[in-house]
Amino acid sequence: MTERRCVPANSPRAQTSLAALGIALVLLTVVTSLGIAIADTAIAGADRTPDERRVAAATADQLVAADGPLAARSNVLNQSQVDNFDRAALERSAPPASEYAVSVELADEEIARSGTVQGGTRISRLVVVEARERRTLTPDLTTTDAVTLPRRSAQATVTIDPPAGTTVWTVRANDRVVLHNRSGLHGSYEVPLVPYETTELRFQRAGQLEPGNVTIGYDAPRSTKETLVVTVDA
Amino acid sequence: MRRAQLPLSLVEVALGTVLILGVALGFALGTPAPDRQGPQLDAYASDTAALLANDPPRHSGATRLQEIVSSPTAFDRERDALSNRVARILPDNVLFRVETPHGAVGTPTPQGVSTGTATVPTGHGSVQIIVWYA
Repeated sequence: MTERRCVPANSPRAQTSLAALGIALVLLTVVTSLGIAIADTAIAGADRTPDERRVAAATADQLVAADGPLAARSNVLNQSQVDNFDRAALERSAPPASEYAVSVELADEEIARSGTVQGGTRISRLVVVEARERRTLTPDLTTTDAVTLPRRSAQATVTIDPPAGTTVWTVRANDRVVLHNRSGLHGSYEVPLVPYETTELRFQRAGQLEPGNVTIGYDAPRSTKETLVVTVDA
Repeated sequence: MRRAQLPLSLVEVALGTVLILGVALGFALGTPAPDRQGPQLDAYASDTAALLANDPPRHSGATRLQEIVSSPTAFDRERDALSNRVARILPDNVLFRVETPHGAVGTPTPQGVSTGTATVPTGHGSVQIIVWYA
């Protein structure tokens, strides 16, 4: 469009044309909406689904913590507690599990879940699963009066059944007296031990002990390394 | 016929476009990419430390971790076993370095990768575990 003059013809100045103004407004509007779209995408991309990630990390932390529902110690899970773990226990120990779909896998096998998980955010933790199995030791105490437990254990069951004429007064674990009876020990006793040291049990006695008169039962931990995976889908 | 001026509106729209695109570009480039590996690697490092602290020792001491740092001789003796144990604890695609007061085992830490670290204080100084994706 040619310029439109609204001023007297003798004026030297031209005026902004209406068409140019219109085009300018349209262009500016387009660019503004484009810019807002780019900014919105950028912010949406920077929004790192923090809820999923936070819930996954917190739930995994709670499950491997020493006071968690599965753990015997920090990062050491108890096999029997793992077997008993279910959805109710998951929701009790990690309350966000009732709001989000949370799945807990141990060694690629799902042990509990609340809701169906498709994709979502995963956090893996490295754990040891410990199963305790009972073992019995029948020491030969004919020539010696001490026996060393082959594995560290938190407690042991000492069964003393001395033959006639033999008296066992005292049982020591690493020089700590754990059992004592002046008139003789006879029967089955639970003995607490220190799990952080190798234990030597020493029997103070008068007379002969045959193999089989003393049996010691202890918990031998059998541990396997596994991966605990928590997946959260919001 | 006199010549018209360059329409001022077009000059304005050019300036406005540059301004708005500049702001939008600031949004697009100014937000860093989210660090999705960091928390997982940190978890791996602290899990490794916890597992070492829970392992029974091979010879003497209360825990595996304590046995390793108890003396330079013990560290030299346990160096290979420690390296094997940590490699078995961690997934295959994760490399590691364990730094103790008596020396270090594992791969040298590369520059410019995202790593996870865990530091465990012990009675003989602190042990640092650094892990990263291979």
